[in-house]
Amino acid sequence: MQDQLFWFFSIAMLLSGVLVVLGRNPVTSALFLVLSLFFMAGLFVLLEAYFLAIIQILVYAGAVIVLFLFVIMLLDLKTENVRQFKRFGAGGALLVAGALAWKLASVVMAMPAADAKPVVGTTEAMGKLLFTQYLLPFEVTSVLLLIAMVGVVSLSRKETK
Amino acid sequence: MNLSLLKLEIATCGLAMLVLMLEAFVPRRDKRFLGYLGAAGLLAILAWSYCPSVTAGGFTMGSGFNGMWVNDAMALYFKRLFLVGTALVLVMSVGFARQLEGGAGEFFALLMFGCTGMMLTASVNDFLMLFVALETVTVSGYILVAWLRRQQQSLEAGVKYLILGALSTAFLVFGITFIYGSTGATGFADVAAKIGTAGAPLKLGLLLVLAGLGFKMACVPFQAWVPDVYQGAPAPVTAFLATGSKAAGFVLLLRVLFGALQSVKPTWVLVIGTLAGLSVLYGNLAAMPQRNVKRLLGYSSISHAGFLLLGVAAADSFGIGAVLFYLVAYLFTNLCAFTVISCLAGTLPDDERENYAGLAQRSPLLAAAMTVALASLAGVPPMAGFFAKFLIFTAIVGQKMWCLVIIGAIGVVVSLYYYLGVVKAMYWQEPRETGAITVAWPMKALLWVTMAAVIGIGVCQGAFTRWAFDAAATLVK
Repeated sequence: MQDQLFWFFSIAMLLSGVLVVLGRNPVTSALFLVLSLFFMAGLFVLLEAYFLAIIQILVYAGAVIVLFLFVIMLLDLKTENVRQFKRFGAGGALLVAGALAWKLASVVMAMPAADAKPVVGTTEAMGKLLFTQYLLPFEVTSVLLLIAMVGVVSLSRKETK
Repeated sequence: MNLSLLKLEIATCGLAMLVLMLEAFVPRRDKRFLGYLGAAGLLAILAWSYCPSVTAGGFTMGSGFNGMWVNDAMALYFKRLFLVGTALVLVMSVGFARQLEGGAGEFFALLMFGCTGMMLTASVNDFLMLFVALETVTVSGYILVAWLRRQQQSLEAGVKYLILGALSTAFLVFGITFIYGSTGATGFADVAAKIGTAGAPLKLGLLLVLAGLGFKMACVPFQAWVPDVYQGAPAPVTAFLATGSKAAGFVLLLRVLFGALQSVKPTWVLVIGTLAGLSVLYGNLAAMPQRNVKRLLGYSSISHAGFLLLGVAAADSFGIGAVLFYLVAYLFTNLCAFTVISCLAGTLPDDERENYAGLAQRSPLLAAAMTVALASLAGVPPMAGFFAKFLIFTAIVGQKMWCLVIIGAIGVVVSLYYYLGVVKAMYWQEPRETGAITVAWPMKALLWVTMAAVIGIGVCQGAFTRWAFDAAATLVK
């Protein structure tokens, strides 16, 4: 049962990921992104990382993407025109992407199963890790968020002259 | 857990928050005071870092936070470099403040938050910490680059920096995932212990992490953002990116290479050597046709990333010492050049080279400062840049890397052409407009200080090389 679910979530996630990129309409792309994040949350549940799964849905699918949609709708974007690629640029991009994909595939195929200890990703376990082992990065992240907030307010406020 | 390990960072971050809060209470015309307050505060923290309790094996040296954090002589060296650099950039921004639309206080605070992030990078000993510290630097960079939001160039630069920066961050995170997946650890020491058995996934992960760091250091092939961002960003921010942000990339590279990858040195020497050669060639050749001075300094920054990587490729304590010395020389040289550009930003229509024609007649001080900076960048004795390049070349000759020596020599010769082209325009061409350019006293002081530093470091290299080599000795055993 778990195996089938894994394959279902993974394939569905990848499919909706591809549709995000291929979609011409920004709103459809954003909605497919929500879908992709939902399936990823499913994968987290299979890994017994329940807290992450909930956060994934609440924060990303719930808040971030809704904000995306607001922005897209407020900006009233037109359907994107088909872009003209330069032949050299497209060739180079394909080459690099191909090389990376080939390397990735060969590595992933050869990757041994990790010998990680099974952990239960409950809120309690996450909280313990965050406030003991990962305390320093956690605190620095709060500075990072402060920077981002100051930046957003400064860059978007009205000029008062 | 030992909070005193972090006291320099906590002080810097606290100073930034203080400036941020004061900004709400200070009247609009007094905003410059905040910049001076910040600069004075950073210099006070710098002085504090020389207290015996910090340096002499006192309670701040050592590692902590489950091995995520290391405070050694090299970390302290870089922290001081970031403090000096940011303090000078703050003074430069005060002189530039007329052009910062409103919100100068937030601008100063963000520079100091960026400085906090850079100081964090100096002590990183864990891939997770590396990511968080690097993001602190980069996110403040995104905002500062786009600060002149009424100017299309600045906004364009900000968006380009954001998108390419996000891409490089994606590479970095992807790499860290592979490293964690194959070793089950993120600490440099733990990864180093498992490097022999982990195989291909770990290698791929480390390669992706190097790609993410390459973006910060602005080396080929991760250099595409540099010219546009350097040109579009406000001049003090460009100075901040060229000096602090680049040094942060290098300190992380050194930490990863010598912390986690010590045992596979021959492999990465090859990779770093290749990137170094490509960066030197690309940066110098692409700079030749440039007519915009800021853009030219952007390409020059790529070539200097190449020279710095040459020192890293030497991979012995001499090479690393040379890199540390080079970063200090490069810091003062670039700050000198960008102070001139900041002074001219309000007067000249843009940064095209034609506008610099006859600058010597309009403001002898600015022309002299620019000449000193460009001579140092080109590596003309007795400037600091000369001795820095000399050390780098000694290091790679010592390793018998003849191919890199030749590429480096070509780079130096080519660079003379485009640096001296600007000097020629300033001294031997007739100005388009006449009329003296007045420079305000803080900028004048900054020009004198940076010029004195560039020449002083070049003439009295002894003390500076000793500091650099002592710091390098703690990293390369």
